[in-house]
Amino acid sequence: MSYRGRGRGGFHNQNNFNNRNNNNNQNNGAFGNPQNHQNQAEQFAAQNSVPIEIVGWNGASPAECISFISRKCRVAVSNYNVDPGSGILKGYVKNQNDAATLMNWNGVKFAGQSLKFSKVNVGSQVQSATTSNAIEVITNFLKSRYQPDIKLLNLTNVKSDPNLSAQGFFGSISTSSKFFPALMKVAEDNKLDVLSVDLSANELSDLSSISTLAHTFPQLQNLSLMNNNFNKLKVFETWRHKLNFLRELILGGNPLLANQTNPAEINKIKLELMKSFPRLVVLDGEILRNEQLLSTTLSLPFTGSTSMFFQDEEIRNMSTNFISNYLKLWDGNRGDLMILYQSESQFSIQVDSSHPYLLDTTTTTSYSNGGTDFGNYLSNSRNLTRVSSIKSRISRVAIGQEQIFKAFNQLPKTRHDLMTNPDLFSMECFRFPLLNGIMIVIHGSFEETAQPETDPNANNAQNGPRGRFNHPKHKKPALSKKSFDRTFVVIPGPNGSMIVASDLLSIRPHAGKDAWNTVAKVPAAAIASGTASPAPVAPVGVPQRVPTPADLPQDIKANLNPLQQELLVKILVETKLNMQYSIMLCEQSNWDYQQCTINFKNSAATLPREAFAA
Amino acid sequence: MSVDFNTVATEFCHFYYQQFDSDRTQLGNLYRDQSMLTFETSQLQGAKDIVEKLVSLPFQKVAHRISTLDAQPASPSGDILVMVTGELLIDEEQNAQRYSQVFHLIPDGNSYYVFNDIFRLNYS
Repeated sequence: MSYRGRGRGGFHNQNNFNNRNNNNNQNNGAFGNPQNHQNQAEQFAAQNSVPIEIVGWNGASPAECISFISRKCRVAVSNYNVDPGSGILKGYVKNQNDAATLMNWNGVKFAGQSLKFSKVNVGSQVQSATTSNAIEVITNFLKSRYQPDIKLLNLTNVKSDPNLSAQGFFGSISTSSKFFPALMKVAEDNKLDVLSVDLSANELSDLSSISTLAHTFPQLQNLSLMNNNFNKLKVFETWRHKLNFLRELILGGNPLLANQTNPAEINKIKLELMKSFPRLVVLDGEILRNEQLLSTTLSLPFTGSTSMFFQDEEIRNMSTNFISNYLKLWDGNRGDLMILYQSESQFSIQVDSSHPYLLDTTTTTSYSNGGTDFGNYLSNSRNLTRVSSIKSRISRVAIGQEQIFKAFNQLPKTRHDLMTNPDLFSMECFRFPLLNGIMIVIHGSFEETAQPETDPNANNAQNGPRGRFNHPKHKKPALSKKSFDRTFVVIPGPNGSMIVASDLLSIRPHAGKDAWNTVAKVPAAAIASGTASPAPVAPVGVPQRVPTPADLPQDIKANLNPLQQELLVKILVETKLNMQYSIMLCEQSNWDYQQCTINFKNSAATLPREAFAA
Repeated sequence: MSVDFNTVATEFCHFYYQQFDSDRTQLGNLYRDQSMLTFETSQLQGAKDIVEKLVSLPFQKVAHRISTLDAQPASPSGDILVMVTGELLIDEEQNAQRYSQVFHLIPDGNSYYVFNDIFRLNYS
């Protein structure tokens, strides 16, 4: 018998998953006909059943004997026949329980004789399958249910799979509840590439037994839960924001929607599902939202991000130097940073702990908690939308070296891979004219490597009853990757030193570098190279990198041919005009270099100051 | 402290986003000629260009939701640095874009204007 063939039978119209225009996929329409299921069910039952033998039946017909057993012992014997050689009446009972019941009736009188029942020992060795055997069975099962051509894992009506039933996998609830996680583990180990899973007809009423699906197949696009017993919307919370690529969901044949007639309620269910599954487009064949718009939104209209912006070359040198040295000390010894802070310096952090919408698939395996434990940060978070008391607002800005050092030590130890992986970071740097300083905004991610030097929650725990709302005393928050934004205002100090006047840090769930990963790597590498010179402001001796067209913003580059890009860069460098005026000059000179220099010479004196890059 | 910078920062952000979400053509009042905007890849200077850029963004309806907000006074003359993280809901989508934004506010008479505005989507 081909299991694979049957798998297809149960889900023969798999194209429906990919065809969102087909709105007629109601219930059985999409998933094979019920008659087919019925036949399979009988075959499975036969496979699962226990063979028995009956002696002493021949006082009447076999049919009468079977009917008697059914009435008297309440055990159904199926597929019976009389063995022509021995004259023994052979048949099958549904399962081991029925077989045992029947054995208890040994000697019961029928048509003037005593009936003798016995089991035929065929499957008993197989039923005590060892673990390694179990894995093998699961692996074989998985292979029989997987269709690599369409990346479909067909897990319809698993309980009735003859292979598994014969192995006793569903003999008890405990085995069946362990079965699915085991299945997922094996699927993971076998690196199955799965985009669609069909879990219809598995008597599921919640996700508890199958919750691991989201972990194993975070990229899952199509899922059928048809003909199960789902009746509560709440159970889908388990997968909230975990199946972020799910596009089509089939819930037909579940009480949840089938029993719902109130349009408002139905709408509510749809909305909630869309929230839980951010890319859900099709529910039971119905288009829920504009997919094109959705993909535009999720891939973002703002293309071609650059990771770095520096108002000018001097700012570039200062800020790359500053950041690379700063983060090195931040990871190494924060005490060494204190020379940068003075009595009026300020530092505060804010924690945006709300759940990320998109799963960072690169980190799910090693950070299954998604880096969402903010226990080390929350007690100091100065989120003004939450922290309203003046006292807390004041106490949560650390002012001066002592307070700032204390605050630093209450943050976990970290590793910023700026040197090895500068792509993970993005910076924007500006002059801060009033203070003759610079403002540096940096975005990126880091890895927590150890618990904080001092426990940030220790103080609050002594504050009486409030302590109980804090993190449990002895349970350290889990370390993970996090993302951050940080704004520094750095001003010149005495003797060419630097002072951090303002330092605002925002911590959020790990989000990777997608926001700026389309970028040329050159500017990022420039940061890393900046470390070579420890002196804070040392443009001398650091060779200035000659800008190339790759440094031009994407939106400008898009409108120019390569020759024009070359010219524009040349003009930017030579004239020190800002982008807008440089383009204007090029345009008015018909993109001719000679003409540009002439026009520039003629008009330089009359150009407004803001025509030049600051 | 004569003016509570925390209150200024919070009220400013609420006002700014409310204005942005209801009619962003009116945001020009909050910028000056020397103001700078960094919106993802683009750098712009001057109220007129900044508003033009903001108006040209490819969405009709937009709603900002602030998740966190922190502020520090940034100079003796009353500059304020505001750092915000939040969610951007575009065109009635259920899915929000998360962003972080830094405003450098400078006092100007009885009010403040945005000297520097740095907006970055987080893609999380």
